[in-house]
Amino acid sequence: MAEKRRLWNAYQDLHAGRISRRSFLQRAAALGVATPIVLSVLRLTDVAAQEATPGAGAMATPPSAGTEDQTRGAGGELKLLQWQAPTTLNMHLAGSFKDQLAACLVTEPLIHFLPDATPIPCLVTEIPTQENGRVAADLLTVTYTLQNGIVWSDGEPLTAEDVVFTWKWIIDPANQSSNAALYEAIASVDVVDDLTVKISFKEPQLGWNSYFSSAQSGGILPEHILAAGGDANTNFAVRPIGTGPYVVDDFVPNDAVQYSINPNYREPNKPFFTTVNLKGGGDAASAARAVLQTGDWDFAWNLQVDPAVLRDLAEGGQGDLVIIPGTAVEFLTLNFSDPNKEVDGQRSQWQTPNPVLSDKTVRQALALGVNRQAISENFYFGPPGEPPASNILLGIPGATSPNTTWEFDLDKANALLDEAGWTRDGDVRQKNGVALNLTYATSVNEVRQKTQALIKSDWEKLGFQVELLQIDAGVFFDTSAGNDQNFYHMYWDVSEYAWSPAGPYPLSYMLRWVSHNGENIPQKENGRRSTNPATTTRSTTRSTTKLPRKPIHRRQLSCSSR
Amino acid sequence: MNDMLIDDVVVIPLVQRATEKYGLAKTLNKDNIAGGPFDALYWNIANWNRVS
Repeated sequence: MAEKRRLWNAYQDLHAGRISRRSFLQRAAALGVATPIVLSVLRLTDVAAQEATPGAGAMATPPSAGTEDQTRGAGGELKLLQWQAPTTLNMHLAGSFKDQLAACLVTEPLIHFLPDATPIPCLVTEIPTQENGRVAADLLTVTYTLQNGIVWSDGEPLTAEDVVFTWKWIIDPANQSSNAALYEAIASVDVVDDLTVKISFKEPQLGWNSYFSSAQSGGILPEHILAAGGDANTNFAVRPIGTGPYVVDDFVPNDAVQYSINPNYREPNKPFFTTVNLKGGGDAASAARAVLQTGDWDFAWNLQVDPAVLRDLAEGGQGDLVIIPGTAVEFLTLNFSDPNKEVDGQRSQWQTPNPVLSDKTVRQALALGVNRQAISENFYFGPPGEPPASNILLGIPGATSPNTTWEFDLDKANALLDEAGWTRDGDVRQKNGVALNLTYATSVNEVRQKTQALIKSDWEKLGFQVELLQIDAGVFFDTSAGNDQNFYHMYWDVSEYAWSPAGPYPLSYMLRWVSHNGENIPQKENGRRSTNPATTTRSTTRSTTKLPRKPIHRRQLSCSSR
Repeated sequence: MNDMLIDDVVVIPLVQRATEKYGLAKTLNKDNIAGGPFDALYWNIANWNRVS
């Protein structure tokens, strides 16, 4: 928790006037907190805000070009092809993005986030700040006021009681909400008046806007529908009642959803489309063809298709391809412990040094032997959508480190290993009887297997012998205690996967990398993590002996397994 | 902290992956989709429209 404490100390220094706002911003950025998040907490002058993020001084609203003179429902049918079909329409039961997407036409959060992480009001009057008194100076409470006059699609008024109910529903273990772990940071949610609600946190929260925010995990539920429990919950998962622009006419789980306009939607000339037809099934390639080439469908999500194939489909067709750079980073983690030695019933026990990878020169040589440009351009979309990476924290405005670089240089890597005394014995180098043998595991996935093959061939030019392991994604990302083939156990030397912060406030993502014995080596925490206070609330750490007490936050899991 | 991990080669980042790869009809107004890493891709569907 050192990072969290450091951030809190910096905040207190700022508040007491001991450091400048700029210096606080720098300290927050070093910890990976997005500039818009910091700005939303701090009372920065317009000038300082604009210096920090261009355009941040302007009042942000949802993009709505061309909607001014439109008539509600004039647009006819909107056809969304979503090859991964939704299973539930309750946002707080969502297993992954597919369900959140289908739910968010109906269920709305208090605030949304623009692509640059700037928060904007959805159901509320304004974004809380310290200036408007809605964020307490001690960061223990935040107060929202709902817009007056918003009603649910059945005509009942939206009130502060609904926000309180939503919190209680999410944290009730009986409901098995996928967002329960996230909302445990909240101590209570209390009604101030009919439209005003106060959220109190268990400890100071610079990430206060992670709650009731975004159409991924922040949707507000109707108390008057769900308070009955039982069948009401079952019905809600297929016919949700919301405040959003659409209502559900028909839903066949794992197949299709038909939506029509919510007659009680608050903006009289919206939405433009009369009906929405969300169709699942098929695969990413056929979805891409139906939108990009033939134009049979309007929109297709999650086009995990070979980049060359996608570019060909988009060429001269009926649709455009859009690649949004993200916060997920595909990376290799190196095991500092020994996966081949068993200590206390564990392999990869944290006090058992890895005979090869505990040598920093070896790790540097491996990094020099990874051709990130070729991986980015040949297996991914290449820059600017999917550029080579030299950081693990990327895509969060204001938080990207400018201090790191990468290079691919096999000669330099060989020279480093020569100098360090790793001598060639045939094709494989060795030192003091230890050979440079590595096992390198990832999930079964075409792109990942291409990446593995490329890296293996370059590492073998450096005198490593590399054994590749491919593990079914369902097993590799499964966190059951008895599963020793998952990335938590790391019973091999090198893992490849992707992970991303769950929101613009990435502290829990960064905490995952913190080692609590003073060094930033995650593997060293093996077997000790279940007793560490940090891990009782952070489900992103790993344990070889015990299940994490809380399920992994689903949004993070869905990112990691994508 | 990012820098410590990179300098010590605890992790070797490979690629910054796209949040989303989607296709849309040329008749849809791209500007109002406004998809990003921090909200659901259809979050602004109340403002989706056709290009005029």
